Amino acid sequence: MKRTLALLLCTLLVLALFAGCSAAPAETPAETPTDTQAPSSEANEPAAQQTTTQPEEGKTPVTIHLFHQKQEAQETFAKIIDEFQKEYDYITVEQEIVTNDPSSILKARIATDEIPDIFQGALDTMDIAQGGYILDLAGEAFLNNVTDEARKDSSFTDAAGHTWAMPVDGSCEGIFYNKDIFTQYGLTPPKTISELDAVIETLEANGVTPFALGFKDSWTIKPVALVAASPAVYAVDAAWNAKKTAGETSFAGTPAWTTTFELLKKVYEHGNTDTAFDTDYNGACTMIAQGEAAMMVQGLWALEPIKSVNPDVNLGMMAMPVSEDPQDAKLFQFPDFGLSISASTPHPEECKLFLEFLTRPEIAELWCSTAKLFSAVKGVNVDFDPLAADVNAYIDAGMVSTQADRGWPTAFQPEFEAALPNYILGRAELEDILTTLDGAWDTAIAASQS
Amino acid sequence: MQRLSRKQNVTYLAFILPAAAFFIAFFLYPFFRSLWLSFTDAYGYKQQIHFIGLKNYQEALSNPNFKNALWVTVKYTLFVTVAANLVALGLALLLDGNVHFKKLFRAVFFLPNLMSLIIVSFVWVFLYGDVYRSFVEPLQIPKTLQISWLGNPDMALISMGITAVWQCAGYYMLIYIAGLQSVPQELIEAAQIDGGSAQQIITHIKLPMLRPVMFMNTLLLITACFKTFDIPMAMTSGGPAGATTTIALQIYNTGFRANRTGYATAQSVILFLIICAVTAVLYIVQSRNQEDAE
Amino acid sequence: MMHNPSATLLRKRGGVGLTIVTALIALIFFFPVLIALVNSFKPKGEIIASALTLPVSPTLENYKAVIEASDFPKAFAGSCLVTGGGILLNLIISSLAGYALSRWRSVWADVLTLLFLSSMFVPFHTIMIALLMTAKQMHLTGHIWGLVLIYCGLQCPIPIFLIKGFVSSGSVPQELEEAARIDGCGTVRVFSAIVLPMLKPILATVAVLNALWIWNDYLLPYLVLAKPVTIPLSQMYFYGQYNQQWHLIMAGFAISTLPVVIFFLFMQKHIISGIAAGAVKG
Repeated sequence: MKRTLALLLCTLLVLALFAGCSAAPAETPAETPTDTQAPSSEANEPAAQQTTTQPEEGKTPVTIHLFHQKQEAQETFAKIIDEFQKEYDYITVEQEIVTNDPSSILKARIATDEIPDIFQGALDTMDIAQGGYILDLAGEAFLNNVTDEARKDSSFTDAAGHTWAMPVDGSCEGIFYNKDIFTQYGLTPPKTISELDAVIETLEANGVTPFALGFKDSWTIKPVALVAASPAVYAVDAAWNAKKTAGETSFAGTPAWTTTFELLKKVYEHGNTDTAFDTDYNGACTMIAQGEAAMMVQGLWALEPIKSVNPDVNLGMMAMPVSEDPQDAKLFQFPDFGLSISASTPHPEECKLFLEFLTRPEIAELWCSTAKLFSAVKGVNVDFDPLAADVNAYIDAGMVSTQADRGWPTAFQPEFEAALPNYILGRAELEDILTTLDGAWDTAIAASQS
Repeated sequence: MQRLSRKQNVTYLAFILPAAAFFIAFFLYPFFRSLWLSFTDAYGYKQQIHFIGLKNYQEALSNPNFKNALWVTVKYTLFVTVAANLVALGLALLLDGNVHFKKLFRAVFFLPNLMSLIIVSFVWVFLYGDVYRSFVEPLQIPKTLQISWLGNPDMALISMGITAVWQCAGYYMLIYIAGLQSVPQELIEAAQIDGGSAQQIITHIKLPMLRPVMFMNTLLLITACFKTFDIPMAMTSGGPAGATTTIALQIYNTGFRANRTGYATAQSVILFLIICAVTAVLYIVQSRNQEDAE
Repeated sequence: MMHNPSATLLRKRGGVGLTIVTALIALIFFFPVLIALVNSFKPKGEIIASALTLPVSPTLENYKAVIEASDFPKAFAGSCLVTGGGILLNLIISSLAGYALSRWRSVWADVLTLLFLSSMFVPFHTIMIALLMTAKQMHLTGHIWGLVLIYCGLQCPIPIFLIKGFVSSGSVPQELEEAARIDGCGTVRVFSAIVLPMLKPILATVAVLNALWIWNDYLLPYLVLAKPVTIPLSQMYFYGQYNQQWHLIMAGFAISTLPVVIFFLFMQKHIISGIAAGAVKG
């Protein structure tokens, strides 16, 4: 009896050890290329060979894993996937949406060799590509369906011409404002800082909270800084990042950065300041949707949650005034959502079929009308919302600036994000913050280049 | 005989081998690898790694964010260690006294300790948010007098500490109860015969006898608090304005958000050294105390 | 000793008073759990109206939604597999090592014990990144078995120490072992036939302690699996996806806590003695 117990235990030990060993090789073949290959060219080779074979009926079933963080697009994606699967019945696309800390989860996946076949690398795309985990899309025919400016954006295509992600849509960040409230008090969108001050004064005199703030979700602070920094810093000097890296300029030495931070503080001080850090993103969206606040600084993606609270709210979008010159009030517009293909996917061809599918005009239209965003696909223009007219007016007048945080080194991002609340809560002086940012930038550049 | 014992030695070694293999593979080797990484510029997915000496350590010790995390962790540790010790000791003395339904109460106090910290954090975010609002709104308390539990940088750490104390007090209570049960019954009875009140018995007999247990609990609490990660991660993500970013969370952010692997390991080695130092100091203090007592 | 009736009466009355005080404190302690449970039965609108009232129209919909959306059965199975596998493997290697370290009279045994013990001062975060790299190179990431093996290595020191202490304290009489040896049993036989059965109480303690630890752990499975495979992971994913949907999150709290509570009710004795033992020895 006791002997059997001992025997059983030993067998289990041995079995467990074997289970550990045998489980590993079974899962690795697909991923082994990652460890050995050089990033771009070799990864592209097997894919190039397969391009010649046509997809045919009766192919072995293939499942593609799609990883993204666009929760508001969940249902749209489901629809598109349905359409796609109708056309390619041997391919199944599984979408996984991660909204809680998606960048860390994606990194953990990569670290554990569990890379999704298609994924949204967001701001980390370039870093991930550097590790050799992304298939280079340069030269793929379907990229021709995408507008050149979107494709060439530094967050999708690097200086060497490798395209690491396919842009799907474009977005913008600006000030949402309640047109009815503005009309009620005879206000028009401000174009200069003093006009903005006047608007704030009128609203507050009438007991209206100017800005809705949802800083409990700390990511909502950054857009406020970016809508100011993009026109104030980058519209004036597109090469600011390169100059900063070369040591020719600095945060402390660029007055526009001081303006940016001061505007951030202005927004913070003229909103639901006392409850700003108790209110989350959804809470802020609710405030503007229900007319409890007149304005909110956010990206276009906030339109969907706002309208879901109050479909009838009469909203407009305007740029952040950054000086006394109305010509400087440019709207921050940028390519938003991009998808990359894993370099180690066993099904590169099927993944490309899916990306190609997304660039078809009818699919791009479906995407943009429901996601309420601008398409990156040529010739697709969707008036997804009355608000689109405001944005288009800025675009048509050339009053947009397209650059902000996308060229920043990855390690600088958290430092910048940490600096914002420190400043508005008065935990550090602006001078010190700008000096810290200067140091953080240099360290981040050194860390990623050495 | 000698051959027999040598054979036996080999058998013993074979017995230790599996554990040693696991231990080396998943602890010892990673530990030394960490030490090595902390002196390098390891970054994200990059393959090349260069030795850069103490640079990472210099950066950590001069970086305001890391210093802030250090300070936050120290404040948090002090609060939770003191509060959890007091609550646990109080509960233990209560349950050691003349109380009915001891087992039930013990279970209730211990219950939170069974739960995952992640899930406990969600419940408390709910308590500090919607539940508190539902409590305050009918009372019409003016906004300025309301407490912003997680939104106020000065309050958030305390709110987090309260959650931690709620979760862990039951555990330390059990240790105190075990300590109280080892107080010789004769001592207490003798004191009762001498007319000692319950209070006197606690202060003059039970508490002095509990000193080693209190030391143990303090040590356990301090080391646990210094490593706190789950609660700030799930409750506040370290905000507002870094007011609840503990060292562990800072290490995680540096390693997995900023991709700076080498720098993150240097921070983690600093954390290790702090824990070693605190433990050593506590041991020295404790052994001095014991000498004094003897 | 003289029996004093009035003193007994006094003690009894004191007992009732103290019991009431304790009950009040217990109620405060239990309040968060109570609130969570109450709200888990409310539709969303009722929570927005007030989180303090009892449900007007109690519903089980929340539970249904959570179980489906977070794929609870799968996460439960994953948690069971990781915890069960981790403990089993751990018990085997720890009892072997703990016994051997206790009986082996050699400097090496002391050195090894010290080495195992020293690991308790090292916070997980210190080895985290390097461990992940190592695990990846050994192809142990992305699947449950890898996680089980890693737990085994990380968690063996305390069990080894407890088991070593148990054996050394004389709970396993050495005379019995020697008698068996004289009968011709080898060390392996002595261990499996005589020592192992006598280790039962300490093994139960070790198992229970490790079970709670593994079951509730978040960071290691998160890093090694990066998928919502265990209960804390799936709840974290769920929380992110259903932000502010407190009726669902509270239902998630209830169903993910239920298994541990049941476990506690059955294992109460071992848990309580285990914590005392673990603290005193550790």
